Amino acid sequence: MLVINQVSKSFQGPPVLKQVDLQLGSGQILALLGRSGCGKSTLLRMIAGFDRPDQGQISLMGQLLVNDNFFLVPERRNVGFVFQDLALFPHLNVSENIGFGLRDRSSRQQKVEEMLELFQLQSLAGQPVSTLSGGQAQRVAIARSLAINPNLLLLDESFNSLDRELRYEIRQEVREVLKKRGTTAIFVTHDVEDAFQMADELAVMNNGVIVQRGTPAEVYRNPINGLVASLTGSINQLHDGEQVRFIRPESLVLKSGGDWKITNKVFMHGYYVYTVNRGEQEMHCRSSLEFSAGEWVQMEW
Amino acid sequence: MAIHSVWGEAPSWNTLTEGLLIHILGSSAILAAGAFVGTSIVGLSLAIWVAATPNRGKRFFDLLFILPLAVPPYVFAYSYAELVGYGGWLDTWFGTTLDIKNIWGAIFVFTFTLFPYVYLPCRIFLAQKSHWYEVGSSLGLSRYQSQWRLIRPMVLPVAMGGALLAVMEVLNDFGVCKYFGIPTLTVGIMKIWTGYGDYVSAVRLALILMTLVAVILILQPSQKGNDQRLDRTDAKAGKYNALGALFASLVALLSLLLPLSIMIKGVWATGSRVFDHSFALAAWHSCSLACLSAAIAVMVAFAIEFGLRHFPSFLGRRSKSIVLLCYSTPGIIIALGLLLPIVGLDRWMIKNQWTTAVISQSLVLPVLALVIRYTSVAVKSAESGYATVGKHVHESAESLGVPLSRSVFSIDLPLLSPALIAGFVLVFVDVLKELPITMITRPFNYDTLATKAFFMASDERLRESANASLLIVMVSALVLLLLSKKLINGASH
Repeated sequence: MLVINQVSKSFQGPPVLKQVDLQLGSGQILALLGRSGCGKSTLLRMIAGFDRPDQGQISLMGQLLVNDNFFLVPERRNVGFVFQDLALFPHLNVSENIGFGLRDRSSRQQKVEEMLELFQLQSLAGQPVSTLSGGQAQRVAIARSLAINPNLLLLDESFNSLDRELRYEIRQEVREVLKKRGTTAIFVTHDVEDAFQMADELAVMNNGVIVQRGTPAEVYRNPINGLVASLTGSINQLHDGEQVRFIRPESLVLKSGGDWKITNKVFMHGYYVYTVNRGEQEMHCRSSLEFSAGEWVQMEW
Repeated sequence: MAIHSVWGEAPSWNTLTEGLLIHILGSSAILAAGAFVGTSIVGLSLAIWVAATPNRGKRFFDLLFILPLAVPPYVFAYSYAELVGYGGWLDTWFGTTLDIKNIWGAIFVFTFTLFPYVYLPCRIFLAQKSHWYEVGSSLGLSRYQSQWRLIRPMVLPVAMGGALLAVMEVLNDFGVCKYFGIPTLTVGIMKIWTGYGDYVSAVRLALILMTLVAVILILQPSQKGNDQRLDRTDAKAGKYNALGALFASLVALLSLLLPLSIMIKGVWATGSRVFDHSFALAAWHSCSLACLSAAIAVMVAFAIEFGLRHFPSFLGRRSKSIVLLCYSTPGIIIALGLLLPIVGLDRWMIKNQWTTAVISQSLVLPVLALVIRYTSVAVKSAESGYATVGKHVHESAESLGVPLSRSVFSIDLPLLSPALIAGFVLVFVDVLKELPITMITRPFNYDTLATKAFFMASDERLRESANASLLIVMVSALVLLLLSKKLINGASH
């Protein structure tokens, strides 16, 4: 459905994107995960048409969006975009915002009502957007983008402004809506929880290239390097001669008596996070069992 | 102008350089220095005092001390001339008169009309830095020690910037200096040109004036990156200080109450005589000239800001800088610079029998000159309007399939309309108060309220001139009050 071929881009400096290839099937939700400045937002803006690649080709549903000789303007791409700041139109109310992109007047009202119902915004239809809470504004922004029936929905760090609890709720709700409507979506995030909860697949970016792609479980369990491992969760690096092994803290099992010493102990939600040392080597592990700081333990994985 | 100043014939230039020029430069320098010091002291002292008052009173004082912006210096000068002259209140109540028609009187006039240029930025700055008092107290400094050691060094460059703006207004002034008989550069330009018909010498003086303005612009401290918002609920609410309150009351009395009382008295005494057909015509001329200039300025401003927002380019940014620079250019220089080519075009068209009418006797010239001078006000307003519109709003519209040709009407104009209206009103008021450009470029017998007030005052018909003056002040004050929030927030002008 979406095919990105050898896309590169630089902004008066080192390249931000280096010959990126990406393909995405219909109805899939992909999370682009990476640190700030790795090129994930730039890639999203290229797909939307806000920036033009230096080279490469992007096509969507068989239609060419951009290549070296052709550029389709954003308003003709039918690609929805939800910005980090949501970019709601402050002079329009909720309904007007949602209906803004709908050209067909006869069906506009019906479509707006459908969206209001889908996101449970009926009671806010006539309200100015300045009065909305963070979660409500988020729903309006996504409803506005979905109202035009986009071929592809792009979300650029759209959940950043929400608190933890609301974020979980909105993510769940948005995923359900996208799946129900069969909407293909790519969202950019640096928060692994966003990615795990919403995405069918993750694509981890670093220095302008996609370094690993797979389902959340695949990427989490088999990170190809330390960066992917650390981006997708806490990780221990165990040096075994020349080899480095990545072990998740929850994969370690602690038992009393051994040559590892507990140097720190923190109680989290229902479990403990222990820092254990053996000589120069330091590891972190999670356990529901209680040990004392200073106690000697053995570790298995 | 530069070409003319080098190659043209300048019959009066020798006379000027034999001593008069030094005199003109000297009095301009004293006046500028006096206004600089005066506005700095009054503006900064008031800003510090208001910053330390209880939060509830701040809004009132902010309004009170920006209102003098509604009183053009020449109107203020006529009121005081009436107050302290023969038959004035000073004469009636104390049996004495005071000659204020000298350079010190002019410094007094400029100090009490232009101090808001210092007051406003300093107030904004002090409100932003109110937490510095807490920083000071945490380091063991008293409030006064914090003021002296922390706040004063920080606020001085801000005050200096404001005072330099006031100096530019002084250099641009014609009404006060002409009426007080002070030979400044602007008065000299006008006199040499209209009195002696020596355009080249006038242009040479104008270039000297422009150089001075350029020096002031270079001296202006940069305010970049300063978030100019005034939070009236300062972290540290203070209490009223008796000496400060006395000083603030004195400033309010001198800058607003006395001149307004004099004007009202003048209108009371002469209103029935003065409100005639010619007065109504002058009011209509003022209004139509201001409306036309403001409408064009706003359209140009919108085009500039829209262009920069959607098609940013080096050329666009430079064009905007030039437009902004025009506000610093004295009106008399803009008028002189335009007059030569327009009159030349007139002559050429008449010679070639293209027309019998002349452009220089139409509204084209004043409107053009006023638009050049005041478009920057509308640009600043449009800029502040766009600053409140998120960067992604247009991209969002594009992603919804709405092209720029449609979003200009559905996004840009509705969102910007408050800022554009504010820009229109601010330009309207500036044009209403403006004197030198209107004086030079207006068609024959085309009187405005400002020129009417000026000519009546020049004929020593001060009470009669109060009618036009009061109308200008009332309209300006109304606009200032309506836009006070925007002004105090530093978003515009």
